[in-house]
This record gives sequence, C-alpha cells and structure tokens, in this order.
Amino acid sequence: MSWVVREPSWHQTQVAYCEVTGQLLPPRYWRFEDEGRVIAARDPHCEEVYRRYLSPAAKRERARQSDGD
Amino acid sequence: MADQVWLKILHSQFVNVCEEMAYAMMRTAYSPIFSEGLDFSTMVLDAEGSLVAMANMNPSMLGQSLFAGRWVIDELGADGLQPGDVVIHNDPYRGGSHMPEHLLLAPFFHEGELAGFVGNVAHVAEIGGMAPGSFASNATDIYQEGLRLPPVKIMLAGEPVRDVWRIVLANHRTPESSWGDFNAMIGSLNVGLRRLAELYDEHGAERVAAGIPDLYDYSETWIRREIAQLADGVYSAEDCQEDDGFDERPYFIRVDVTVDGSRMLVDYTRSDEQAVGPINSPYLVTASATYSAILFVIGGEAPINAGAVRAIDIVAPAGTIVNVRHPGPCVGGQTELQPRLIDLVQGLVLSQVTPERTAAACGGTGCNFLFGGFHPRTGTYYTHYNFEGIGWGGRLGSDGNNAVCVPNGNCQNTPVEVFETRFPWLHSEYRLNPDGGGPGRTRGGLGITRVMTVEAEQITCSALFDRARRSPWGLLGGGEAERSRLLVRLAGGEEWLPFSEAFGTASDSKFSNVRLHRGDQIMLRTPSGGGYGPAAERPPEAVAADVREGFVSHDSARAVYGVALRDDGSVDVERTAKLREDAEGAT
Repeated sequence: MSWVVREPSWHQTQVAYCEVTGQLLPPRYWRFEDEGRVIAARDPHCEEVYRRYLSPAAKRERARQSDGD
Repeated sequence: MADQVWLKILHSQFVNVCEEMAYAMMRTAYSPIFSEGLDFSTMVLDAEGSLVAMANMNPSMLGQSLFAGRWVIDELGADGLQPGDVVIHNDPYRGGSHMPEHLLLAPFFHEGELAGFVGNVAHVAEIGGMAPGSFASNATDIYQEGLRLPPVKIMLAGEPVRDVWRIVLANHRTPESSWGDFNAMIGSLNVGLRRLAELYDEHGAERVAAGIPDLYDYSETWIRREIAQLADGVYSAEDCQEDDGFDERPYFIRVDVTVDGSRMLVDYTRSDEQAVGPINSPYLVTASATYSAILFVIGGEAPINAGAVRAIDIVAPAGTIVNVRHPGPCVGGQTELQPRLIDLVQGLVLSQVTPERTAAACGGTGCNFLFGGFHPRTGTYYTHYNFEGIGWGGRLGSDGNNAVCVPNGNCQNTPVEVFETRFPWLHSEYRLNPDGGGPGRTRGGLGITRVMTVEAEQITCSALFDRARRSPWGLLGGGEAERSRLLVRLAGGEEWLPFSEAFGTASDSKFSNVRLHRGDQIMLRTPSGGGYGPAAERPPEAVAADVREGFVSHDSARAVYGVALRDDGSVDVERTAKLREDAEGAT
C-alpha cells in the first residue's frame, strides 16, 4: 500500500481509471495488493470500499459458482 | 458545533452568487439553448476544487460540479493559475459529461491567495463533428462528435488566448454563436468573481474559509441521518437503453445498492459492456444520475455540496455502458442514459426500501432533435439543438408533471415564437397527448406532439430518442405509459412514415444527417410517464377532472379506470362502483 506518482509527458493524451470505482486516476494515486493482484486506486478510501464490499462480494460469487460446478 | 444560523446565511449567499451568475448567462447568451432552454449550471468551488454551492439550474451537471474542478486541478495544478485566467474543458474522459457541455473555470483570489473557483457548465449548441448540432446518433467514436478540449486556458490574465479561440471557432459550424455563448459564460464568471469578493470582504476570508468545511459536515450529517433510516440490505434492479442506433439489442444497466448503516454503495459492475453507438455515459454522468436520484428521494433541503455525497460510493467500471472508455462515443449518455439511471435508482431500487418517496418512470429521453442549414431569409448558416417535454411518473400524492424536460435537465422548451423566428420551420400542432400517461392511483404526466413543416430548400436533421420500443414503467401496480414516436410525411404525401421506411435509417429513433426538403413535415411524439399505484384506486373525481381537462378520454375513464361519467361530466357513483366491482371480480 503506497502512494505512487506517475509523470506522463505533456504530449501524452491518454488517461487511466481507478480500478475500484472507475474514477479518473490522478497523477498521484494509491496502489494496494489483494491476493497477489496490484490494484491502482484513486485514494485509500477506494481501498476501503474494495475490502469492505467488492472483494467479499467477488469471493462470495466465486464460491457460489464453484458450488454450482 | 458550528453556528447553524451562520451556516444558513453562508450557504444562501454562495447559492445567490451562483444564481446571479446563471442570470447573467441567460441574459447575454446568443443561442436559445442558453437563453430559453437554460441548459447550463453555475458553481462555486473551494481552493481544492470541491463543490461549495451550485445554482438550482441543471442537476444533470452535478457530476461535473462535484468532480471536474478537482480533476482539472489534478491535471493542470493550481500553481499555474493567476487572476484573470479561465480554463475551458469538455473532454468526457477526464471530467466532462458529453462534449457539447463545456466547463469554464476561473480561479478566485482574495488578498493574493487562491481562495476558490467560480465555474459554469453549459451546452454549446454546435461544436463541429459529423452532424450539425453535434449530436451524431451514428457516431462510433468520440472524434466524430465534435472538437474535444482537454483543460486549457482560454483566457490568460484577463486577455483572450487567441490561438485557442481560433482553433475552437474554426471547428464550430456556427462560430458567431459559439463566440457569443462563450463570452456569456466568461461574463457570468466575472459576475461570480465580483460577488465572491464582496462576500469575502463582508465576512472576512478567515470566517468564510472556516465555514466551508462546516457546510460540508452539515450536509454529510443530514444525508447520513437519512440513509440510516433505511433498512440495511442489498437492493438490485435493472433497466436498459433499447438500442444504440446500430445493433438491434438492448443495453442493460444493472445496479446493486448496498445500504450499510449510514452509508451507501451503488455498484454498476454487472452492467453491459459499452455500446458501439453514442448511448454510453462517462463516469461523471453516471455519478450525476446516481447522486441526483438519491438526493431526489432523501435529500430534502440539505445543502448540495461536496459533503452531501460523502456517504455515497459509486462503482462504475471503465469499459461498461456506465463508464465509457476512449474512444467510445457518448453524446447520448447525458440525455438518454442519465434519466434511465435516475429512474432505475430512485424508482426501481429505492422503491424497495422507501416506496412512499419514489416515482414511476418518466418518459426517460431528451427527445433530441438537431437540425441545421442555410436560412432562406438571411442566407446564414444556423443550427439548433431541440429537446422536448415528456411526461414524468406518478408519485405518492401527485400526478406526474406534463410536458417537461427530463428530471435531470430542469430545462425549458424553446417557445414556438422563438423557434419560428430563428429557424425555417412552421408549426401546425403543439399539444399534450391524451391518454398517454400511465394509469395509476396517481397518473403519469403527458408527453407532447409537435408537428412542423420545413420552410427552406433543405434542412439536415438528426435525432436521438429512446423509449420508442419499451414503455416507461409504472410503479407499485401503476400502468405503463405511451412510448415515443418520430415520423415524417414527405411533401405531397399523405402517410406518416417512420424514418427507416422513408430514408432507410438503421433506427427509427437514432439517426444522423437526414435531408428534409421544403414541404416535408415531421411529427415528434414524446413519451409520457408511468402510473403509480393501481388505477382502480384513483379517486373517481380525479378521473372526471382528467376527462374535463382532456388528459384522459371518456372511453379510457371507463375502460382503464372503471369510472362511469354522466353526460355533464360528473361521476355516476353507482355505475362506477359496479364497474370497479366487476373489474375486481375479473382479476
């Protein structure tokens, strides 16, 4: 978990998105890991949303699917 | 605890600044979409770009007001701004909504220190691209939708940055109109800067700066208290855009709303991938719709600022219809997907937890009709973006509004007199659609019909409608409403035809650059709103009043509402009781 600064050249026009919420990723963004996956997020609040809601929901969905198999 | 009276005064003064900015724009703009349609919003932001207050104008721009200032500062940095600068920006991928809507932002300095920003967002009627009016239903990428501007300065220390102006105006079909409208926006910013300076001088910068975070906290506390009154749980629903102008398939928006104590998560992860055509929305449009829907239901009189949405998290994965990735087109997201999202959240989701505060579906489309050409009287090129009134959904204790713009727009129609003065059309009909409203205990509002004839050698037109195949839904037993239709009668012909039949367009509701000629007529028929609660529970006197007003026909009063009327229009109580008894027995 850490802040990361990216410094795109002034002529680069592409943008990147927070992998948790879909918001625009700022030049200084928050990076964290979950189960070996590195996730780029807007700020620590996004990580809190991820850990509290999205990750448990995804795990429940995976368990439901494997039960179905 | 902050002084509540002081907070109320401060909030009202900030809102007044925004409203005065709005009136300045309305009175000085060149195009009817500003001066008549009021398709704009004005705002005050703090030094970090967070929303302090906005005028009660166009709620569809709430997302830009909340996010775009912060994201512009992220990109440009606040250090490079000086008094007299104005930043312009319309890029949907970095904080815009759809490209016609331009954000102008000016820093506010007080005693040499950056103290905040004033901003406005407005729909510029023509910004180039593949179709006059810059609303191309056949666009498959953003480059076909007009000139895209990342945040750049259009004014530097009070002087126009001529190179930027020249690029912008060279890419618009009606540069004189754009020139006038942009200057109206800049004038509005100047009014805002003057009024903010007066406000800071009156109360002192320190006191004002200390009051802003208290205003945020006040709004946050208000909204958290409202959320906490809802039952915890996960509430899900879905709705769709019926097509994207290319593929004969619906695009679904699916949402799971988690109520968790005093906070909410609105998760659109299960929504469909982004469409080929321009019905996608960028993140900010989805955010506008989501916040508006929730604030419509539980917001009450809470001040709308950055604190009002702190308790609400939104997840809209990039690459889906609710968060378009570059270079996907998205001009219709603001006018089509936004009302669908609002109804989805306020109606289908929140009715599960607080039905007494929600409404049935509205007509749910901007009914966007764009046209351009050379005016036969003046020889000059004109374009116009026309949005149309629809019916709103019935709600507890009140019928839906008739013939008003989508709830997220809060815009006004262009009066026929202005329309015909500025553009070569002649109206022969402009009226409400009887029986269009979804039946219910409270009835859906009525859409309208507009019929007009081309009075020029040629007009190039485009349209982006929805709700042509799927009716606006009723809620809690209320009935569906009438759908939209867009028809043409060619000069000398007798039949009204859908555009696919007359011109071979792929879609009847979404097409670009169709050429109409002198004497051709078009009929715009807009959707009505859904009904709320069972029609059999509508008071017979209310049905009789509907018939007197021409909102419901005599036949529908009997067949749909089970109300028998005498020749003088009064309710026949005995026959009505019998009709309703028989209907109940039949079900």
